[in-house]
Amino acid sequence: MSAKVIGAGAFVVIGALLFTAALFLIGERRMLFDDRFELYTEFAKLGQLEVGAVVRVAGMDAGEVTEVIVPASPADKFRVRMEVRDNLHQLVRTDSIASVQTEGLVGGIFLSIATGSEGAPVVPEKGTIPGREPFVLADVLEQASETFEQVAMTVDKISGDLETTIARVEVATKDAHQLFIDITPQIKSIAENGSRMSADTRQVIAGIQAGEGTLGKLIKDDTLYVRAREVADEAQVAMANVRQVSDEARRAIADFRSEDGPAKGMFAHVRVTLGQTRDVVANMADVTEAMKHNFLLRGFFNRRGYFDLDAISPAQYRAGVLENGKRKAMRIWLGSPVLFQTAASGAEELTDDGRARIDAAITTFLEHLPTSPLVIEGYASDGSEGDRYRVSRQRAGIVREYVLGRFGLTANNTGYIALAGNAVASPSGDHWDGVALTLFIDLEDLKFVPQPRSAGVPAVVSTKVISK
Amino acid sequence: MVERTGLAILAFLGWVGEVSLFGLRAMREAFRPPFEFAEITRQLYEVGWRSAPLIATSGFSIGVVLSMHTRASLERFGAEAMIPAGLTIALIRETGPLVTALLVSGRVGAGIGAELGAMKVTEQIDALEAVAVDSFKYLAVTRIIACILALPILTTITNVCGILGGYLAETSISGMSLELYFSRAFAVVEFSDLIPSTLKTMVFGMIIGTVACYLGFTTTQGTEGVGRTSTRSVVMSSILIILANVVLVRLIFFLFPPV
Repeated sequence: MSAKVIGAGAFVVIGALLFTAALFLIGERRMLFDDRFELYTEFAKLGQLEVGAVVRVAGMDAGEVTEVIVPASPADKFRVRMEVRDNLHQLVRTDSIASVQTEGLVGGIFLSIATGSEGAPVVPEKGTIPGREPFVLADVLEQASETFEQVAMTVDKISGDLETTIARVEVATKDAHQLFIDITPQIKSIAENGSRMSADTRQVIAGIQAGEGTLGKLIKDDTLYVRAREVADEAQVAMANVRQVSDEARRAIADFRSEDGPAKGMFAHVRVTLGQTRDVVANMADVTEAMKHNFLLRGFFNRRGYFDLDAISPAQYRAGVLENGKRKAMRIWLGSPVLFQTAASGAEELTDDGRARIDAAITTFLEHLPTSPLVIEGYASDGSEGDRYRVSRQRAGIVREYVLGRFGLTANNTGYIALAGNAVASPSGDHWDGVALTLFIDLEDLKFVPQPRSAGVPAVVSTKVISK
Repeated sequence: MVERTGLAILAFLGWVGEVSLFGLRAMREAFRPPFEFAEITRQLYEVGWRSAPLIATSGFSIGVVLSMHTRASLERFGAEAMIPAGLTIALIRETGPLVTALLVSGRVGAGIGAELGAMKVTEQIDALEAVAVDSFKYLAVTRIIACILALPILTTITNVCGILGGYLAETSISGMSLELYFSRAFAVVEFSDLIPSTLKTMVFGMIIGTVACYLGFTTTQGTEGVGRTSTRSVVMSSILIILANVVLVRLIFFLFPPV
């Protein structure tokens, strides 16, 4: 074999080996011969990151960016796929941060992955780790430019305001200067007056110190002091007197309160006075009573409802002595079987049903009470004439007491009278056994109100206006 | 003047057409038997192996010079660490292929042109035809194939020697280790940088071989014509290589977009 053939073969082999070595170096740099795992991260801005960029884990070359997936919408982020050497997989945790960085001032862009925390799990195959947005110098310069513009605008504004302020201060200074010039004579005058006042004051003080004038005497003369001491002494004596008087008054009050004191006599006088007053009142009552019966004043008292049932006989009452042309009697008849029951003592007392019927009857009269007089008429139909009178009076008294206590009526306007058994206009004819509630009312005020009837109320109870 | 310019353009276009047909014929004949492997090997030895020292030396020198120039530029920015990567990417992408092609064009193109031109004027080619040897296939196709095969290998040698020269220049200044240097040198190199730029030199080899062979086969006017052929071979090959490089770079960028 010739040397030329060997040379040619060597040439080809050497060339092929060198070319292969170059390919191997490139492949080694791109870690084509290492086991790798796939990883993702996301960025809103790529920061010039491109496919093929080196990926470094904790500063160590670990792989390369294999794909940049463009987001579907502005709200989404760029999704960067990378392949990292498998022997660094345990360093990449779920909390590892990926960031786009520049290698030096003119170096290439690479993707740096910081190792995660010890407690975080290892990121799975095809997992996604969070990405930190790249530091873009252009954005910073743009923000700085905007800031500078705002600062310049602010400075211009402040400069304008400052010039205006300075101009105003200058004007104010001029005004103040002019004002000072204008008031200078007045200030001088004030100063002269002050000086003069000071001299006068000095002179007055000197006079006071010399004991001249009232104030000077007050200060220099001790007469006033002596007088003041005397007044104080007198005041002390006066206070002693007051104290003595007070003690005497205290003793007098004690005597006054004691059994043997002078108050005993005063209370005796008071008793006498009260007795005399009672007599006067009694006399006045007699006079009034007399006036009621005086034919000149009787009409007045009758119209006002003042009359004495004790002074009226049953016959007069039945004859209508309490009625006149305008005033008429309105009666509500209540039978004794309903009203009364016999107590253990033998006396009669109101039943519950009887109280309810009295309440219902008085309700009819309420609109005219207490301006109109109410008379409880007592009736009894059994026994002798005397028994009938006694029983009828008891019945009328029982009912009156109940009405007074129940409805709070005035005793002067609520009377009762015993009419035995003779009741001409009663529901049962000429006699009645029970009571009649009689209201003497002016016809002008008469307003008949039908008595409400409740269930179970016997028919013996009736209401009717009796007029003569 | 216009007529003369027009005639010159027409003459150039006619010459380009003839060269292109010559090259297409060579490609067609390359795949037709008989295959002249022995002659191809001999031409590969002549074109490749004999050119290796020149290429290696040139590549090494270029690496040293590029390293020094790159350092002078990058150290202003404090980016001395980028020197290996910058030098390597410059060599692999453009400097290595183009310098190699121009050197081969000067050495091999001139030699092929002169050799074939001399054979033409001395009627040795006619003698081969007389003994039933396909002179085109034996003389032209084998040389063109040798050039096509040798150029990528020579380019690789240029690149490697250039990187080594850059390393020596860098380590003499910074004391950088060989491992770190190569690590940084290939940190930014991609397959798309190495493979297309290396394979494009096959086109350069075809240009060199085709132009030289065509000019040799068309040499006239005796020994004077041989010298002229030699000169024209270098000139025309270089021009076409530079022009073709523009088109190829554009094509490579289209097929392999730069990152």
